Formats: sequence, C-alpha cells, structure tokens
Amino acid sequence: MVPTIVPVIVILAWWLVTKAGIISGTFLPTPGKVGSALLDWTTGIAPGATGENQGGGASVYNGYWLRDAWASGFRVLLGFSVGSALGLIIGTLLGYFPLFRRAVEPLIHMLRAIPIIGWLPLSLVFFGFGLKSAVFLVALGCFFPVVVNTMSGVQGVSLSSLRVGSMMGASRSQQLRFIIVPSAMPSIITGLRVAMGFAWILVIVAEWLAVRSGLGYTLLDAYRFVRYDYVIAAMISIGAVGFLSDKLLYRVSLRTVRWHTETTLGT
Amino acid sequence: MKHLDDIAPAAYERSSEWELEIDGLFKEFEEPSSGGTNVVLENIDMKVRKGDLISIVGPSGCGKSTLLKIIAGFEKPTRGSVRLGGRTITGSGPDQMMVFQDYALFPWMNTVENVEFGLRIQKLDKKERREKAMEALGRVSLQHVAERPVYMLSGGMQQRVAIARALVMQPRILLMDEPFGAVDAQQRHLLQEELMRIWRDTGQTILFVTHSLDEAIFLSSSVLLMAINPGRFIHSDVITLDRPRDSTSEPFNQIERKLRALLDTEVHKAEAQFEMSIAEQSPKRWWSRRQR
Repeated sequence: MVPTIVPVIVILAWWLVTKAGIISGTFLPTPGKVGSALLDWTTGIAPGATGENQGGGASVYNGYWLRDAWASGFRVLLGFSVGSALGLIIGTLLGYFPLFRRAVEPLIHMLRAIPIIGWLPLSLVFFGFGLKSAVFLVALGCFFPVVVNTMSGVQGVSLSSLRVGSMMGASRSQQLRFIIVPSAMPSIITGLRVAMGFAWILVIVAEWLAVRSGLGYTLLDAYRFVRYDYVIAAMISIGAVGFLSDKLLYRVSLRTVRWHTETTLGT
Repeated sequence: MKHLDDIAPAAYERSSEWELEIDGLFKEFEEPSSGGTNVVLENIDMKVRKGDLISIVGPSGCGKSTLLKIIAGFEKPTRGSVRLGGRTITGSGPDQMMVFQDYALFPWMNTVENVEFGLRIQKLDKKERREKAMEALGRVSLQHVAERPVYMLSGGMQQRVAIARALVMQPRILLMDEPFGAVDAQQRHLLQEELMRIWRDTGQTILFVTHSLDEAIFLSSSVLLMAINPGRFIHSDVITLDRPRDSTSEPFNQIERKLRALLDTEVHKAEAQFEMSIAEQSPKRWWSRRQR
C-alpha cells in the first residue's frame, strides 16, 4: 500500500497539469495517451483509434515491446555478466594482494574517472556498429562499481576472521572461499546493484549510438517522429525493467547476506 | 622470578610433561618515527605443564596479547624459541587454538557450522564433523541453539560457541585472550564456572590472558604478573586454594591484595612513563613548531 501512494500522486498531478492546459499536450501527453501507447506497444491492441489518439490507432511500434525489451535486456545481461565477472576477479585480487593493489589501483581509479561514453569512439573503431560495441560499453560500465566494491569488501575482512581460518589450517583458496568472499558479500552485492543500474543507463546510450534496436532505440525513434507519448512510454518501460532487474538481483542475493541485513539497519 | 619450573600445580599434577616451553623470547618493533626499537617483550621464559591453567595478568599494553599471538603463531618473535609439545612453533595451526575477545565467529554460518568449521577444513566427512561439533556444543550447553544464526545469540553464548569451536579441534593448548572482557558481570561469572567445568572434564591445557586479578585467581593454578615497558614477568604465584573457589573468602582476598599491590605499582609506573613520553613529544607538534 505505502509504496503506491507517491506514484499515484505523481500521476494525478501529471494528469491535472496536462488537463488544465498548464503544459501543452504537444510537449507533455496526458497519462491516458501514454497508457494507450504502452498498451499498443506491449500488446498490439490499439485502443481509442479515434480523434484524440495522435496516431489514430496502431503505431509502427505496435506489439513490438517484447522484442525491444529483449534486445535491450540481452545486451544488459551479457554486458553485466562479463563486466561483473571481471570486476569480481580483479577486485578480489586487488583486495587480497597489496603489491598488485599498489601497481594497479591508481590506473583503475584513473580509468574510472573517464565517462563510459568517452569510450564510444574507440569502441566503434574496435568493435564496429552492433552488439559487440553495446556489450563492451555495458560491461565497462559494470566493471568499475564491481571492482571497487569487491576490493573494499575484501579489504574489510577482519583480521581475527582470517586468523580463525589460519589456525584451523585453511589454505589460501579455503580462506577465500569460506571467509573472504562471504565476508565481502554485502559489499559485492552493493557493487552488483550499482552495476545493474549503470547497465540499463548504458544500454540506452549504446542504442542511441551503436545499435539500432531495443527500448532505447525506440525512445530515440519516437522522439524523431515527435511521438512524445511513445517517448514517455519508453522511459517508463526502461524504468520498470531496470527496477525489476534490481529487485530480482536483490532477491537472489538476499539469502547470502541475510546475516548482514539482520545485523544492520538493512532492509 | 623468571622460571616457572618451581611452580608445581599441586592439585593438578596430571602430568609432568611440559606442554609449552618458551625460552629467551624477545619481541621488538621498529619505530619509524624515532628510528629506535620498541621492546614489547623482553626475555620471556615460561613453561606450562600439560593440563595446567595459567593466567597472565598485566597492565594494558604490557604485551600479554602479543605473547599470546606469538604462541598462536600469528606473529613471529624477534628472538627466542617457543616449543609446543616439544616442537618449535613455526606458524599457526590446529595445535594452538585461540579464543578471541571479540569472538570472531562467522555470521554467515549458523552456530553448529561455526563449530564444525575447523573439522571441515580438516576434511572430515559431514556426518562425523556434525557429531563432533554437536558434542562440543554440548560441552558448553548450547546444543539447543545449534541451528540458530550466531548473531542472534547473546555475547556470552557467542563466546561459548567460540570455545566449542576451539575445543572441537582438541588443541594442545587453548589460548584465551581476555575472552570474557566484553560480557557483563553475571554472564562473566557463569562463563568462568563453565570454563572450570570444561577444564576439569577435559584436562585441556589453557593459557588465559586477562586484566582482572579476581578472574585469574578464581580460575588458574598459577598466576603470572607482567610489567610494562618492556613487557616482562615480574611475579608468579601458585594458587592452591580449594576449588570451587570463593572470591569473597579471606584467603582469596589475601592473595588478591598481595598481587594487586604488585600490579598497582606497575600500573603507576606505566602511567608515569606514558605522561613523560607525552611531555617529550609535545614540543614537536605542528602548532608549536611555528613558534620556533
């Protein structure tokens, strides 16, 4: 109940502003129009083919939502997996080996300061237009938050935990598996969640510049054809899938860090 | 008083074997600021009989915890040797189990998983290690919380889990570093009695570090007093009071008074030294440097 209050107020305010003509309908379509655009796009059912509906029935996006969402989602999934896996491995090494950290950490922080979009020209040169470029940008965006959070999580492992491991006779790999990784897990999950957020942002950017499909591409396309109802429908779609993927990630990870959420302010 | 050879734990002569032998041990740290060396432990000699429970008491910073870490194998001595069961210690391992003041349990494992962790590392099969872990939990009367997350347990219970985790490995020596320092007075007393029962039942050799004289006298067959700067033994006493001991009895208080007097002298000396070192440092501070 509580989480629905604010969205309902926002939609109501939006509706009032557009209905009262405070903002012209040309620039900000009514919630109703956006709703029918969403319905048209997701289900292929074109409601209200009369008058008020700008396109007058089915649009060019009719029924393509799933295809578009999957195109974006697939890139997110691929980029997120590659970027996070690399971030996890390198972050763990950075946290565990001080010499490696001293050698590599400054470079990572320097590269991290470059906006991912700045990599686009190089990405296009090396990977060309298409999936590879998009995945590269997403993976790069996911790598940094994961590497930094994993490193700090590993560095945060308490000395006495490690001592318990060593007095039990744990080998390095056992220390890693039973102590270091579980202890760093809350921090790693924070990194993964930030990465997932970045992934959705970057996939949209990539779809504007490097590939020609997906939710982000639809957004751009609708803008070019002055279909602001579809622009907002695309915005809402991206927000929703981003939100859902974060929720999913959080649910999956919750089990491994229940000890953390229950001993801190947590949920 | 340096050697403990003459300390015969009268009522606990289970064995004449020395379990722990420390000879001429020094621990020094380089001090980068002054370029000198800080002697934390100076010429430590001590021997602990098998099945003995010995307490070390001293002011904060006297190096008693460092000594325990060296015996545990977490730190290396600068000079001198530490032998356990006749063999020189080269590093940490299951022969020396430490019980930490902050418990150091793994919150990502439940209670029994924490206890069986060492056995898991030692590659015991699942059934056997669960049996042994449950038995160890029984020793600290915590079988009923085996499946609970450890962070749900009280501080005293957590420390009992940590003790079970150490006991299950059947170490040669149990090292306890101010283990009851973080629990309240009532819990503390219960834990002391529990430790007494465990010691009686298992004959476990225990080296116990505490800052509480009362606790040391209540528990141990001998008490060692340490001085600070450099950390060294200044006194040892065999406690021959009958068990269970009564900390309100006159003989108990007599011992405590005597040891307290010795310890207080040391604490005052340490404080005086600390104040002197502060006084020496102060002109070097940045805000006074400008005036020069």
